[in-house]
Amino acid sequence: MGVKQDVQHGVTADVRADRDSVVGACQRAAETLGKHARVQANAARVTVQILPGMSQTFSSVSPVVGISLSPGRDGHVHLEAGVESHRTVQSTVFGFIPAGPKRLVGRQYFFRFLNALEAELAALDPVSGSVQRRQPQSV
Amino acid sequence: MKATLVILLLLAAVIIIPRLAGASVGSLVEFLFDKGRAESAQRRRINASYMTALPLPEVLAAASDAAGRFPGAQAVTDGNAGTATVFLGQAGTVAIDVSSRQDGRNRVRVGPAATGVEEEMLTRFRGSMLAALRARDPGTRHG
Repeated sequence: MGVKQDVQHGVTADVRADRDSVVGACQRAAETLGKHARVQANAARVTVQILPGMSQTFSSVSPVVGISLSPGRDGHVHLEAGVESHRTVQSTVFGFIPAGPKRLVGRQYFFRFLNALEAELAALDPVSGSVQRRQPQSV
Repeated sequence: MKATLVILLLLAAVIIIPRLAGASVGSLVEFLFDKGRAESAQRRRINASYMTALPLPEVLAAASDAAGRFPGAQAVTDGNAGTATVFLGQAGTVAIDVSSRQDGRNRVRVGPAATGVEEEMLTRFRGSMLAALRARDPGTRHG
């Protein structure tokens, strides 16, 4: 799967829960990445910066996942999560000839985060809530 | 001289020809790797697991609790094998497998049974299972 497909992945959810619980669920999902995630949250928005490197200080930040919260129907909270910015890496031959696919930096952590976010949101409202994974549109 | 010429021709083949065909070298290699990577991502996704300090009977009870939130769902647990099967009607069947670890915690895998389950229902049930495990052990985490 190429970078263009990877960055189209996201989560859309509608859950009956208060905003603090939803923000808490986002934070718990980010915690599954341990030191590889940095979270900034307020009542309307959660931003998760994924740090794929070994050192938090020197690691590049990619991707940045933005989660926006808005009021939904019947007291639900509507949530949209997706990639806001990202970096790519590509292997080269002789240092300059592109010789492999472009890859999303932090891809593995990004998908682990999405999987955790899906489960955490579903745990908030398993029966009436809806949590959907946004898949890339096939060409 | 000949070697230089061969190298130049190879470089031309690697860089220019794919460009003429409207593709980069990267995209060609990407095409070759595409299938395997997509499959492994999907496999990781459907086999999520959770770590809990709960003993096996409590985990199986949590599975029954989780199934109880879905109308018409039925959970069949097997304490000896450490497994549970949750029948979600038309939506399919979910398999739960509990394995103990050396640190005394249990790993709870929640995935589709061999007969399959609708993806959305699997996500919902997984959430329900996580909530049921957390109700008994707040320290339950993804693992």
